[in-house]
Amino acid sequence: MSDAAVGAAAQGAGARSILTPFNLVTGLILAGGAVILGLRFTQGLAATTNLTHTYPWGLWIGFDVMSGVALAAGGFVTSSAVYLFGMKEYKPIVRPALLTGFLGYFLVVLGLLADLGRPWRLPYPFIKQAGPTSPLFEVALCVALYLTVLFIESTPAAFEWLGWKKLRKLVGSLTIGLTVLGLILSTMHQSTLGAMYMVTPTKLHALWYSSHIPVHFFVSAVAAGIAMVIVEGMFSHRAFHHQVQISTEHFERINFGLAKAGAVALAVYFAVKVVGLAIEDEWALLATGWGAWFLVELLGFVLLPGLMFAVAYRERRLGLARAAAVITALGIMLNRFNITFVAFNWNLPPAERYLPSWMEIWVTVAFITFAVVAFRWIASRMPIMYEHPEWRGQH
Amino acid sequence: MSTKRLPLLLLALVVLGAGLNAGASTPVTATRSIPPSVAVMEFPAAAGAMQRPPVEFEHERHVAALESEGCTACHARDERGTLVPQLAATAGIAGRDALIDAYHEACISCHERRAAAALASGATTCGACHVRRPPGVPARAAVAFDYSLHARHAIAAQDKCEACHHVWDQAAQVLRYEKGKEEACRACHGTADDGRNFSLANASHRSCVTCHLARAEAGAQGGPLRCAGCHDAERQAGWTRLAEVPRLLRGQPDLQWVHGDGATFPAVAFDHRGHEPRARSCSGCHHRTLAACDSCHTLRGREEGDGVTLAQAYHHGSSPASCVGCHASAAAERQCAGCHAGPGAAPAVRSCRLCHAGPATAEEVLAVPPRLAEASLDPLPPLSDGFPEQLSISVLAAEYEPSKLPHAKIVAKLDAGARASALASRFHGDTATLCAGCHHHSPVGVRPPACRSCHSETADPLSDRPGLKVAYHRQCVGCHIRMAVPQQGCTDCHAAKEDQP
Amino acid sequence: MSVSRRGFIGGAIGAALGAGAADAGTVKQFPGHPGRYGLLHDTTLCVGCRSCEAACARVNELPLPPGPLDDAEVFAARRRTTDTALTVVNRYVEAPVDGPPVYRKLQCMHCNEPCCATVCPVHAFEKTPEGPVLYDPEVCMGCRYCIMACPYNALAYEYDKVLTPRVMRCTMCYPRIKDGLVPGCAEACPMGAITFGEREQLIAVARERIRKFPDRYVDHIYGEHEFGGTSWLVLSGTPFEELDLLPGVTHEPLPAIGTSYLGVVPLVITIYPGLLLGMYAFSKRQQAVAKEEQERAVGAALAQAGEDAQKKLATAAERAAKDKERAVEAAVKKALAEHQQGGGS
Repeated sequence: MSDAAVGAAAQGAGARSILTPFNLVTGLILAGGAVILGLRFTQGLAATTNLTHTYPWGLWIGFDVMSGVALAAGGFVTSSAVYLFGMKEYKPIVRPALLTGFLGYFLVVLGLLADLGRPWRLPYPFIKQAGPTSPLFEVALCVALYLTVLFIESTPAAFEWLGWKKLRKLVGSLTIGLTVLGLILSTMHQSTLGAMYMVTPTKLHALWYSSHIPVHFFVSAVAAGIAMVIVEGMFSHRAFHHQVQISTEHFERINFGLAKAGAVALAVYFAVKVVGLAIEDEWALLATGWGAWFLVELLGFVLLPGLMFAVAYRERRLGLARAAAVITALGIMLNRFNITFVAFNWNLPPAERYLPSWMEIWVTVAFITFAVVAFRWIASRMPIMYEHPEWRGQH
Repeated sequence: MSTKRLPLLLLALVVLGAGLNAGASTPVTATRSIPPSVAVMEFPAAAGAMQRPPVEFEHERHVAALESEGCTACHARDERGTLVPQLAATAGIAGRDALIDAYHEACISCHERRAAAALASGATTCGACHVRRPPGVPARAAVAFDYSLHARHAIAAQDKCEACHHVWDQAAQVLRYEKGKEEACRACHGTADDGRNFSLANASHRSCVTCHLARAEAGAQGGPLRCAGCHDAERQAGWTRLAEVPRLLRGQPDLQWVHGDGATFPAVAFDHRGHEPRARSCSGCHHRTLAACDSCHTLRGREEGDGVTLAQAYHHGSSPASCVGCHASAAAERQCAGCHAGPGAAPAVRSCRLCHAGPATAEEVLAVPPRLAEASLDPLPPLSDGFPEQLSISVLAAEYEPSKLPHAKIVAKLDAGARASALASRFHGDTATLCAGCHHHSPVGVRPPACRSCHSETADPLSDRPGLKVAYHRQCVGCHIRMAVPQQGCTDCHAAKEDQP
Repeated sequence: MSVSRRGFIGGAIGAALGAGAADAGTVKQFPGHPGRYGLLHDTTLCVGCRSCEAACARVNELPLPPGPLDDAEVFAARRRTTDTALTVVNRYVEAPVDGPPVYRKLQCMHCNEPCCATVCPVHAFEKTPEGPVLYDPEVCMGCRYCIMACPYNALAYEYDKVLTPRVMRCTMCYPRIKDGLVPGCAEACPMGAITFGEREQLIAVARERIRKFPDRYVDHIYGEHEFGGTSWLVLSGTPFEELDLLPGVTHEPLPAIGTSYLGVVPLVITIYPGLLLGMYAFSKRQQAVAKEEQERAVGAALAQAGEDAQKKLATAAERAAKDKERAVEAAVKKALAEHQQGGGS
């Protein structure tokens, strides 16, 4: 792909009509989401959600915060692989993964702003009064810092697009430091999201509760991140085919490498869970209804995609790897949902259970749509899916 | 994309199914009731773990199926003609595996035979008999052989005690009847066959069923022949009860001194005759044999008495066979519970004297005790300042109007209940004892203290003495609850003030 | 990377060890402020009159519970505390064979080591020396982690308020206690099922009650040690599980379990940089070595190619020179031969 053609393709994006089917659908979703959020901020959480005193955390926390953070983990996984561990062949996917990560974490903040009782007080832990004994304080601090890191890590593309060479050089020199910082922050907040549940041994079902929940969350986040990179690549590679500079064979090699990593990550996760069962001697619980549900999650959404990844890597089957990635991502979401409101307060009668309201679901879909639209807008203008000719080969 | 959709869809279905299943997390623990005619054939735990669940043997169905053949189809008669409850085919076989084989042989062969003859028959496969069921609770009620039932049997046997009662003559190695040595079956027959004696169940079935069968065959009116006839609780409730039961004479005293050998505490004049109708049968107090308490229970305790000392045997607070225990359970009845089951209720120390009123020396004890005076209570005193008809409790009236306490009416009601009971009359001794039910922890005098004399408005946590409001409510409402008095709500005793928000 | 790897890693481990020794996730056992208050709830005395619910609503200026207080239908379903009902009474055993129904009052247990206080990211909860756990709505941002964490499900949230939603819970009538009064529920209870006093004294009272009436009570004071102990102590005649009071998973306070993990944070912050930079340096060195080898190989190949080319050129030049010589010789011979033929006549 010649440099001129790349430039033309990037510019050509802005010349189409605004009323495409994609824009119409996403516009509708976003408009609906805005209306519902308007309702939420004028009528309160009671009018727009199904949250109760027994289930204070619902879909907005379960998906937007818990799953969102896990699924956005691709950013630190790929950037660490490329910049710290020297796996240079994955360089082409670092920027898309970082952008996915940044938008994902931005989604987390949006979700929080929707869910908090008084979202304008979000900065309070840092500016008014800190509660440093709280795992949530540590998560807030890390997520805030990591969002900043991701933002800065996304600026090189913007600066290249804007032609601000000095700033671009400056942020380029920060890459290693930011990557290290990103990995530190990610390790901490991914695992601490799990540690938030350590204080609920009586409320979270024994099969999901463990004194090693932080490890479970961290390892599953690595797997989720890898899966999301594959999934995101699946869509963006096709949508931005005209921009992509690497060969199909290189791209496939990247995907198979990711599949291998995914298989390893899921295998480790599976092993950690099984060891957890053995340590707590919870085998008898597997024979209950909850045990069956747990096995569905563990066997169908952890072991199965792990095996699928391994087979896909060996047999060089891209379709299978993508299917495994989708199942893995769904599995992580399932795990977070289970922990947040399915297996939580599991011993209460079914009548008191929580199910998200349609408005909560719409807002969540709207947030995801926003991220997709933002990704599309950015990637079609800035050098995300390709390398800027002036900065080729640099960080 | 299409190849991934189907497995995902299947996965979704599995997920949905398991998820719906997960909701049903509370296990069903409703216990299954096993009817009296069903015998659960279980080996004792010491025999080891079994491969299959125990058989629940439905005796009724077998009786119905084999009606034409009669009991001897399965049960043999011994040399004395007694119908043996054990399955004849397993007689004389010991050891777990041998017994299992014998049962299998007997049951399955009969079932196969009948099936071959196109008759109603039972299972021939393992799982059809050894059915896995949730744990069940046997609904078999033990037969309470009380005075009435015993009297009906005595009438039927024309007062021939030898029809049922026997002793074992060790020298002659025979069972024979000895007048004056009749005991309850339980005196020799325990919970399990112990080589010397049959278990109570075994002995009862041998004795009872054989006699009932004989009478049925002779056309006379006899007892039940089926399991449920004796062991079903509802049917037991429907048995004829004799209003007048003649006193069982077995050489027991009418009135005697109860005195421990070597004890120096004043003896108790015990009205044995008066106490006999209080229990359902002699075994109510004579819980092992008809011998006197001190033959097994000594001052220091003996093996025969399971180590229970004489003092414990007479005074244990909750045993139905002890004096104090039986009196305590009588005091827990509804008409007494108001005072006796409330907080702060405890027998006064001076109540020992009510029983231990006799002589303390051995010589005087030899004489027969005097006839005990009829227990009677003095009439209630006339209404006065010290015994008001009504009281208006206004000391804490805030949300509610002052409470009008119908003092005399309450006392009269409680007094009537006490007067109607000989036990209460004797133990209360005088009518003033009744006052101590409410005016507790204080000496009973002409004018008992008002509640606010000791209960201040705030509680005293160190002594756990409640404040005045709590004292009133705990005493009054508590008593109403214990005695099932309908007035238990706030406005039942004091009207709400009109101007309250 | 110019930083000396050895020095960096050594320093990082030293810092981590120091951090670990100071507070490696262990919670020092704090026996609690002396003289702190508590409440004893004797469920054998509770008759389900709900005077406590009414008194609590009045003291906290909340709406009274709907319907008449003596409506027994209310007990048909188990209730929980809500944002307008800071305490509720539930009936747990309807009508046992040998006694009246069993009721219990639910409310915030004012734990000795409250989970809510530990998990709040803005420290909106404070365990006061007097015993009650207080909530400060001025800093609360409504994350509801406290509601999620409370093992007694005692907290509620004002979901229907938009601008000022608060976490709602029993406050143990802290202002009244400071004024020397008794909490509203304790004052209102006509049966004395709630006793207010110093927690240690109440434990002694509870023990004495169990000793005096062993047949009436289960021999256990709930709240003495469960999850580190609570300010509300419960006595019961029926097993506590039947009153929805779970046996404590541990006597250790839940916050100790919940925050023990945070001890890892200093370790990650100190070890990761060195470790990761080390890996980065290692991979860079590997790449540098690979590059060097490649360059050398290329250089050698080039040099070899150059030499070969030179040799070829030399041999070609030689051959060309020889050919030229031969050609010149042949031409000279030919010329001489021609000249000889022509010169003889």
